[in-house]
Amino acid sequence: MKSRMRSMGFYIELILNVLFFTAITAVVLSAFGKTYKAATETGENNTASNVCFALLQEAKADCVADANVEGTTLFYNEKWEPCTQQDALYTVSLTYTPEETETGMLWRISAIVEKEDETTLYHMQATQYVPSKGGGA
Amino acid sequence: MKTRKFGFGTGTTSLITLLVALLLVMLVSLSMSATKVQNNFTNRITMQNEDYMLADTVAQETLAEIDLALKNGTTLPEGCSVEGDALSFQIPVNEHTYLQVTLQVLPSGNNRYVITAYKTVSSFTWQPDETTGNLWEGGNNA
Repeated sequence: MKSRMRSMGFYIELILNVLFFTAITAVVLSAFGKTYKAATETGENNTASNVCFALLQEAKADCVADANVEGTTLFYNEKWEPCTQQDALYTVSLTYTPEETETGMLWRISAIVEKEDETTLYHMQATQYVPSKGGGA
Repeated sequence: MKTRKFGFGTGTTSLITLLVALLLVMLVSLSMSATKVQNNFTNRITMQNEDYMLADTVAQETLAEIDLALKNGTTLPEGCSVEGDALSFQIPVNEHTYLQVTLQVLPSGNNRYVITAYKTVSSFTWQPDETTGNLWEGGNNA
């Protein structure tokens, strides 16, 4: 009788432990999921910011070199390597808006990073002044 | 002699479960703190990029205003300092950095000015510790 009671106690404890462990695992897995999502988003934003910054620097130089510069779209895969449109996960759109001034051209350049689902991930703007002939150098 | 039976007694499984749960909670806490640190660091880099671009935009607009002032012979924009034929202005990037732009105004020729410097400069000054502390200063101290 005593042995049976002890065995029953053990099983009740085991069941309670399984329930407790399941609850803890659910909470921990959910927290891990949230952490992973946050880390992925942070990495994406960081790379998007750096890519935008580098592209805008190039775009500024393009404005100086070519007065007829036009907007372009660049495609990147999940490793942020340039790729074709079919394999692209990220799309960077560069748009140039010229503002004519009395002494030259003020280019407003915009870089927008979009994900595959067309949600905007990051956005950055730059300006480049290009004096007309006789202005600055 | 009484022999003791080996087996899971009452409370052993609870103890093991508690230990594993504690380990899992510790792991998730570490993971979360690491992500937080990474997030803060990334935000600072992103902010730095954005701050620089904003300062650069203001600098480019100031260049356009200077060019117009030089062409029309009107007053230069606020914040410009003139030293001989050199013209300079500063745009703050963040708390400790500013964008320094220096131009040389050309008297005649094809261009009105030439950019001689366009750089970020740190306004943070190092305060050297002049004391030697416990460092060995030479000689025989024995």
